[in-house]
Amino acid sequence: MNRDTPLNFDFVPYWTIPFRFFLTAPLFALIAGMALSVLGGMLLFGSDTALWQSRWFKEVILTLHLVTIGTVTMVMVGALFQVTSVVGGCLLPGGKVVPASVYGCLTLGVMLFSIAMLNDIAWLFAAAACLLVLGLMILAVCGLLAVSRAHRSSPTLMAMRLSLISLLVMIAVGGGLLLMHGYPEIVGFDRRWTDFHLLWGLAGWVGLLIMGVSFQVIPMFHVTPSFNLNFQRWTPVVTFLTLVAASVIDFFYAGGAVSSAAKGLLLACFGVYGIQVWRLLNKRKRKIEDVTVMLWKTAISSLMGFMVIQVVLECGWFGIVNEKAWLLNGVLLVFGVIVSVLGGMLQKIIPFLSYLHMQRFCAGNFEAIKSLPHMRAILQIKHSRYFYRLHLSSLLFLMLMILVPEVTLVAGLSLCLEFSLLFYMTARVAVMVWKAERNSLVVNVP
Amino acid sequence: MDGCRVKIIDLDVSDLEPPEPYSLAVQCLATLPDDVVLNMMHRQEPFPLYQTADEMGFLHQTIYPADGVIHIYFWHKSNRAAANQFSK
Repeated sequence: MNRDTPLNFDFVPYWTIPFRFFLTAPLFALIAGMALSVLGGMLLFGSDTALWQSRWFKEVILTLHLVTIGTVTMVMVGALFQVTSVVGGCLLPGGKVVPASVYGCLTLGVMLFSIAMLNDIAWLFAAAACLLVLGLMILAVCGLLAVSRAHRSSPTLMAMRLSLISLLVMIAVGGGLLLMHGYPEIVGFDRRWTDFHLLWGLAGWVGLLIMGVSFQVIPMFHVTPSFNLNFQRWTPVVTFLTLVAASVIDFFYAGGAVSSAAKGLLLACFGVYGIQVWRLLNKRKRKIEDVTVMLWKTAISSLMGFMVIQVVLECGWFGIVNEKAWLLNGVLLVFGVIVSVLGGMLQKIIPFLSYLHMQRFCAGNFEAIKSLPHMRAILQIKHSRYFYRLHLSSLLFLMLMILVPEVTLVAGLSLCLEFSLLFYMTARVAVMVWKAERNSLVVNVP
Repeated sequence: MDGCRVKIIDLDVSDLEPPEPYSLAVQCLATLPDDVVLNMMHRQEPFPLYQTADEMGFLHQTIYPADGVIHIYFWHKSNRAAANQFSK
């Protein structure tokens, strides 16, 4: 059977499009680390600050959103621009204007959000809400258009579609929550929307996108067998339907047995997915040391820990330390699961993308292609190893920080070190690609 | 396919992670004699390689047998025997 697929390299986005998101993402985590260091310093040296007492405290909302929007969403948006072209064979519509607009809105939106949170300035909450909703709305609509125009269908595209729908729900509610923060006397404040927003953001937008992308990147980068086709087809759909049920039931019947059961089912979907990923990673053909695999396994272990704590939380067995357990679980989910997966994916995507673009600059010149650096030289293994160790130490200190707030300063410094390194690693590769492009332009000019 | 009519060199990259298959294939293509065909065995289509191979003066044909391993045949644009055999 012959299936010659026409190749069109116009479908690969210009290299600066994903890289601008990948380069900016570590900076927001770095700011979060600095914020934690300042808070920790204040606690240690004189101030009577009370840290990590409740999920509703400013420091929690601020650092959480610096990481979830500034870092996690930033990486995911960069990856989305790239993956749509690779998996669907088509770019997001709008040329260079769409990525630039999304990037501008996200960056400025997170900065305004942070300033608004620190200073309680109502109109800044509104401005941040407008920018974040606008940027993510453009992304979701363009992403859905691109997925619907895809040249081929695949479970990854279905998961991306469901993830983008979740993003729309998440930003609509998130924008509303920002207005509630800024103008509670006008809009009112209903805390049930916070859990709704969290569920759609973390399980829907982030969870489903990671799931869909992993169907492609795990077999490709780790040379494992493919995910079972029925598993690929049904897991995102079942997860999405469970998410709809869990969020609606939790909104109207929070704290009840039905709500706990629905959220338990949602957790089970991700639990089964995690086990499947672990199983596949153990079937790698070449079992060489790989930081991405270690980060995947850290993520799955954190997910299992999260599930255990969540079950205990739902049963109400934590009693008076309920809020602490909730915060600890938040660290496990956001930093242990999500940041681990994204950090691992970046270790593969950044060198692969840069190699892809650098070989394009060679325009078929064998001598030039031969001189390209190897994947393992583009992103040096020793840097990846340091990143992994720093990530583990950040995770441990962040968890400890919830129980012993005096550790906040150390946790913040660890976070600063980890993401300074990630920024350096990404910037080093970006400079490498930029130089390769500049050299190719010099060679090709008559 | 009649393997007697043209000489074929096999390159199995199905166990390698990207972009090693690409680098190896480019190395093989750079030294491939005019009358020889390169049979690259891979677990997925190497899309970036197609354009590079075209720029290096090669044509290609992709075959999907039932065993799951994809065969991509590359030959010099001047190799008419290979073109007759694979461009069907």
